[in-house]
Amino acid sequence: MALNRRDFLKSAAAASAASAVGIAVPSSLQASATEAQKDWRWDKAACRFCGTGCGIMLATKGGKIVAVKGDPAAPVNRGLNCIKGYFNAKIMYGADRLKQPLLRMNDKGEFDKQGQFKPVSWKRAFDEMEFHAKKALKASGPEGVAVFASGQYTVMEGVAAQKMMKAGFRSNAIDPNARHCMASAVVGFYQTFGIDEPSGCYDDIELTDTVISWGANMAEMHPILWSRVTDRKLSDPERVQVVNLSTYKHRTSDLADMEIIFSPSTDLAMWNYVAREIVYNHPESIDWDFVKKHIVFASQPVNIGYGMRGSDEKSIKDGKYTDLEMETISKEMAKVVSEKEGPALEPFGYKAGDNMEMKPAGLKHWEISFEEYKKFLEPYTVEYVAKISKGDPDEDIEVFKKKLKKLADLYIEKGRKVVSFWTMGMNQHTRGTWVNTLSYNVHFLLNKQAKPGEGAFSLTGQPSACGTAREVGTFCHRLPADMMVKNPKHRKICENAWKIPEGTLNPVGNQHIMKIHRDIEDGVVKFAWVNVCNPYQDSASATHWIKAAREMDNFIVCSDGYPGISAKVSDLVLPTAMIYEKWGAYGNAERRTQHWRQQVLPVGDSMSDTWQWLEFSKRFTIKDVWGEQPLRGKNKDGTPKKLPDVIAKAKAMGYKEDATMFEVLFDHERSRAFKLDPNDPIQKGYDNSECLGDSRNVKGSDGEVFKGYGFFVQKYLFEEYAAFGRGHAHDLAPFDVYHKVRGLKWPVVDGKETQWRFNAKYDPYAKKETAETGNSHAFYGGLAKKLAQGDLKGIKDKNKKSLKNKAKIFARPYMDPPEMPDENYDIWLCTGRVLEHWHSGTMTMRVPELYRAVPEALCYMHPKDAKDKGLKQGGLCWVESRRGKVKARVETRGRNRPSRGLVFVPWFDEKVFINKVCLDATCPMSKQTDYKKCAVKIYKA
Amino acid sequence: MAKSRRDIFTSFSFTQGEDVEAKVRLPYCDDLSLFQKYCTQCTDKPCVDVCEQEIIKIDDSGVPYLAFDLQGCTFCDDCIEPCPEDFLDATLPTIQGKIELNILKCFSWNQTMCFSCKDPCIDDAISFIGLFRPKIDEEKCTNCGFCLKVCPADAITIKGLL
Repeated sequence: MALNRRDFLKSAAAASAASAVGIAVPSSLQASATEAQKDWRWDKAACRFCGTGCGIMLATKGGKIVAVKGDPAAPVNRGLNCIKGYFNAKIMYGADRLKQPLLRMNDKGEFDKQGQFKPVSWKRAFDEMEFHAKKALKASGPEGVAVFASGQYTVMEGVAAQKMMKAGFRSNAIDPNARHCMASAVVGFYQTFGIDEPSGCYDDIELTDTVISWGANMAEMHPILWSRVTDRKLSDPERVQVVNLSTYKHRTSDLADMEIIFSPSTDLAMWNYVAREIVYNHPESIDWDFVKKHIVFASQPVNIGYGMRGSDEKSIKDGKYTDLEMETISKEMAKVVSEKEGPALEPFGYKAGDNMEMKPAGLKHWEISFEEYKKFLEPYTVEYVAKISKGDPDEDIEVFKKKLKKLADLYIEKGRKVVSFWTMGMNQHTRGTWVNTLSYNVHFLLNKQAKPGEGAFSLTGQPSACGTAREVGTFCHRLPADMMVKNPKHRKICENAWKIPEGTLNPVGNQHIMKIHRDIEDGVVKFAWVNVCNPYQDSASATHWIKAAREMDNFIVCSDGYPGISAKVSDLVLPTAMIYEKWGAYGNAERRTQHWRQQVLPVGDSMSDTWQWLEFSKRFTIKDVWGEQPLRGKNKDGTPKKLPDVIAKAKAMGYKEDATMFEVLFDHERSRAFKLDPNDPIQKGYDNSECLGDSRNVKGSDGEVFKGYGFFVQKYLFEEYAAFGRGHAHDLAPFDVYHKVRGLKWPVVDGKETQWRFNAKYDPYAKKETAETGNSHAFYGGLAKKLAQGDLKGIKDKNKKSLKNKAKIFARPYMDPPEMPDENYDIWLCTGRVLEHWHSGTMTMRVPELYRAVPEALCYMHPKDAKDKGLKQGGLCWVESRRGKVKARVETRGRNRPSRGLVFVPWFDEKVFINKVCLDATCPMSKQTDYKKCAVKIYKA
Repeated sequence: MAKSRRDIFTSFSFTQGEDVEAKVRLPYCDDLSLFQKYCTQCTDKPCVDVCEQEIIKIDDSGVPYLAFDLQGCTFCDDCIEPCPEDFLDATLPTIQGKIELNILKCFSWNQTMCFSCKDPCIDDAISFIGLFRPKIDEEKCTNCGFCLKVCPADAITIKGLL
């Protein structure tokens, strides 16, 4: 970017993200604007889109949102907006907004999987759902009922869905699209800190000297944060250094002092190179006092596969995967160690040419000595790393080596504050958990973590991946506030809080989002409900899942505002209230929880996801769901797994066996204590369609006009959930407080938010833990905090040692992804987003201005690759993998400029259905799909 | 980048008077009177059909002009060869016109991050101050028109010269 400090300062307040940009508007214009706006009602809300979590102001007039602006009082964005944020209101008013439930029916009005969509009543919709869910429960037990959940749920929707699934149906088959987005970061947090979510916050941007972006196109994906980075850079261009590491050139490089284009997956090698530089060549930079007090070193198995289907799985045995597909899938069982990864795997007992048998190892790891860790780092010399990592074939390797050296120097330089940011590049990765933990290694060795302006910081993709998916725990393995379904103590805490019998909750939580798709294809899941996501567009190997949904005996329901691919694939479509048509709360990447009020009535007969869950819960009684239930698999003693009958216990608690789940879980004395009050300043003057009904007089699930629940259901759901975290380092403020402030970063203790966790100066929990030792930090998270002892290759002493208040540095090597370019599929495919569109484009493609800006997904490629393949700029090409192909327009001069050997295709465009091409390999630990790497061939269409 | 603050502001449309709007003529000719002279005599208008971008239209007086609402000009030269009057010159690959960015409409001038116009600009003629306040460098700009259709705010216009 052509700018220097003088230009910047000369142009008044330009680009200063902190100040409101004052443009001289003619006074006549100003006056008429004021006149036009005099009956607008302004209220605050959180932006619908990314994980940045900007605050916006919404103006409502005549029951419609008429204007949106950045909230000047919001600490995240300080009055700024990105182009998507500006159109927050328009997303609700697309021409094809769904207004009535739609069911696939035959001419006789019966449900027919091959029938056409026809409008039905809400009552009929719930009748069908009830029938098919009961059928699925009977056929497969609780594992047969599944939910595609979301990192875009409001907190309250997440709580409602989680309670009905886990406590009601006793099914853990609820997993969010956040699995595709943040799971690797989460397991990284768990394994390193013992507790989820970042130690730092956005204030680090203004406090740091160095921003290093690893696999994040912040300029497009976190634009407002990037404006803060830009502001910081321009405020001190000499001191502040910005580095962009990526597998292709993109907008984030515009501001960068240095750009490192690397070969896909070799980010692990580069992190280990930086660590090796520290340990071997700059040992004086290690803060041994910090490391000895706070850190242990750890290792784990490396032959853990790639999260693809195994040879023993039904659809593989049934031959549903072609020979071409099996070429890649076979690596899940075994592979030959390549020359590229050989040196990195030698400390683990493998060398190039060896056959590596894969064995699932879960999250297993053990403690090792520093000497073992040092031995692990030995291979990552600049020669080896430059050789495998250089991503631009046209770049001189000596230049690349110099860049690596400079990268290490920036981290190591004494007194230089460094923040490392990443998003999907490190998370959507077959070694995603590994590479996440490698980032902390470097920061820990240098004591540059969990301090103002210093730390590795995982940026979240979705608006409430943190606030709902992770904190509420709408993952298959999780319960609220970092509790786990596997842990009997945690289950008991939830059973007590939810007033349900001991033994109700299912301890087996393994149906992550890809497993739900695979279970549908295997015929296990027979009822699936899509909530606030688009799993049939956003899942890799898409053809399999669409085929399974359309052609097998199952019932797919989709709640959505618009007919996206998932709605079209479904059997029943439910018109659903969108973001500001309901009360809600989101939690962003810096642990900031933000609430908003319902601004307008939903369009048509749409109702919120919370309402849909509560109405659905009315259809199931204790007798229906709390008897003995079968699970898959066998216990150690050979008996079939099952869930106990808890009906007798329920009766002993005072429940009648024909009580509905609505009465048990949602409508009781505890919830009714949250009163509706027209004089409450929070509620006064605002609609609440779930609690009060509304003027549309929508006929509800019983065929009668819905008049509201009569209590403050959103506040109840929030407060009941928030109680799990209070006092456990997850403290949220009271509901009402959030309506008075612009969000708060948890833990909120004594009314104060926390900026830097684990740091005794800033985090009250760390302060408490360090009261006796006087240590600077306490990594107090409680998960996986007792480890066996061993060396790089395995456990030597099974006795587990406590590592209370300590964090971990992991020895995790570079490994090849399962599918790499070869003779037949000669080019890497990377997918991602663009600034103008959100995820699958269901909302933003319906905003005319955004559609106009970016109407279709392009295939970004190097001009020479295009020329070699006989392709013209703007012409059409096929992008084909072993799984499928799509047609896209060639772009050689756009915003993304790949080097030779890689193409980038965004996934927002349902007409360029790139997930038919992508591979559903995942990080085997986090189960997050790697959308960034597969092999394709490109040819003229 | 702007030489002074005043330069930035004087270059934008709201400071201009209300000119009669002139059409943007084809590239490859810097004497606009020639279009009036030759094109009004031409009945076939072969330039319209050869334009692969389909941006050449005919105005009321029968003179071709460029319409940028869907595409822009790629300077492919295809319109030169079929012209019966032979007055277009491939060595003059510029379009005579005045490009204007209306900062009252432009999102980026109004606290909303957007850089849609930057994408198609292969001449790198649009520079941002930080991430905001784009400015079009008329020295570099060829008036190719590709930035018009992508602007979500409709803030960029190219006016023909009279």
